[in-house]
Amino acid sequence: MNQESLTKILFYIVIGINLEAYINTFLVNFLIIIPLSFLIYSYFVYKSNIAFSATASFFIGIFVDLISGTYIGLNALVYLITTYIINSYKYVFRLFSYLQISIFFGIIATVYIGLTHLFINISNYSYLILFVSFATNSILSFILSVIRVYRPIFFRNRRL
Amino acid sequence: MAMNTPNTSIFSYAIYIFIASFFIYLDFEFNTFSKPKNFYNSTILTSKFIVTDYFLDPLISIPSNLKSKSILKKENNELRDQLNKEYISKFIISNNEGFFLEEDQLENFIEKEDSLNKAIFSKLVNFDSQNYFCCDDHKMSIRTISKPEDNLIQRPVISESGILGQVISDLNNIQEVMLLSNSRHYIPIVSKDFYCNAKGSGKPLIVTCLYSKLIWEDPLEVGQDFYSSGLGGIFPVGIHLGKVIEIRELNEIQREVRFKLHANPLEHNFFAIMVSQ
Repeated sequence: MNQESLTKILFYIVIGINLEAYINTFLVNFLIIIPLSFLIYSYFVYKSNIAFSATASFFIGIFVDLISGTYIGLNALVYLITTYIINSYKYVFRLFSYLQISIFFGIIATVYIGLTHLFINISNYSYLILFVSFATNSILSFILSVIRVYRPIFFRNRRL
Repeated sequence: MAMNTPNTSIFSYAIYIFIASFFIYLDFEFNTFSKPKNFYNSTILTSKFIVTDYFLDPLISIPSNLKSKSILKKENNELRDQLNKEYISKFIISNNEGFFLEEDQLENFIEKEDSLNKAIFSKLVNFDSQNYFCCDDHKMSIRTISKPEDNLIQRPVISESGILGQVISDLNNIQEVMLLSNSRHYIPIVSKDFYCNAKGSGKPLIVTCLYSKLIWEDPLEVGQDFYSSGLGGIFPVGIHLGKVIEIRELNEIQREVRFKLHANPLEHNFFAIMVSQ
């Protein structure tokens, strides 16, 4: 991974964290949590032609821990596990449909929420939140993948 | 052309997973990384403050300065700050019985600035609303108006409606406040003859107590007021904190009482850190 792509990923993750702060404050009333920064990171790992190294995912995770104020190592741990799984099945994913891949993203987002809440929200741990978040994240991933495929020609020409 | 196989060597991942797990253990059990985290937070907040105070605000106020409204605006801000101070002072005066460790110090508090009992006024700089609504780590950051000489760690923080929490770190004149509803926070409370250490529930405005029916048969009822007991010497005595909202039977011996706090941190931007020596 070169310097430019790492900066780009970190930039998008920071935006994701800031957006999360606004979106999830509202969505949590409906038992929904969307870990945008984690989904952005997972998307970059999934789309990357060269595999993310363990070192890169560890340090990105530590960076996210620092700026999000969670326990140091928590995001690093989840990012490492996610990177390993996605790298291991990188080519297998090509056999799957967008719907299946969206469900996969929904599952890893739910695992992320579950694991982080084990540490930061153990007093109010809720399986209902996990279930609703799983459905929401899967649907969101699917909508995003559909938008990406059927994006307007204007954006496609500009490679956006 | 053949594609590169992704690097999925389990060894490097295993090593980093072990290191990450070790970091979590250190941070969770011993707060090992609290200093770098506090340093990072205070640096971010200070720079945000500097950018806002010295660059953004002057830029925004250029048009109003041109129209000679700046003096009026400044006066308005000062009056608003003064009014907020008065609200908090009124709260302290109305709760004077036992507010300070030395009760006869109220006059000093009102009249003299070098009093042993002081309210150090501060403004909100950051409120972690995401964690407040989603998770159980309820914190906010405040900044004192004047640079304090006293050690502010563990001092209670109040607003015009009551106690909100206590200072847990103080760096670069920015204080991190752990709110009463934080799941790691305890406050000693009293309600009639019932005493307990109320623990933050991790839900906004809710604190809980566990008690044994063998010791207290029926000490509380829904709607009953509860107050700070002052045990431990951190929080002032006898400040109204809120009401009982629910009593649940956990098992044959234990009950859990849920209290709703009266002081809502979302309603205020102006606070005071209580210093009593």
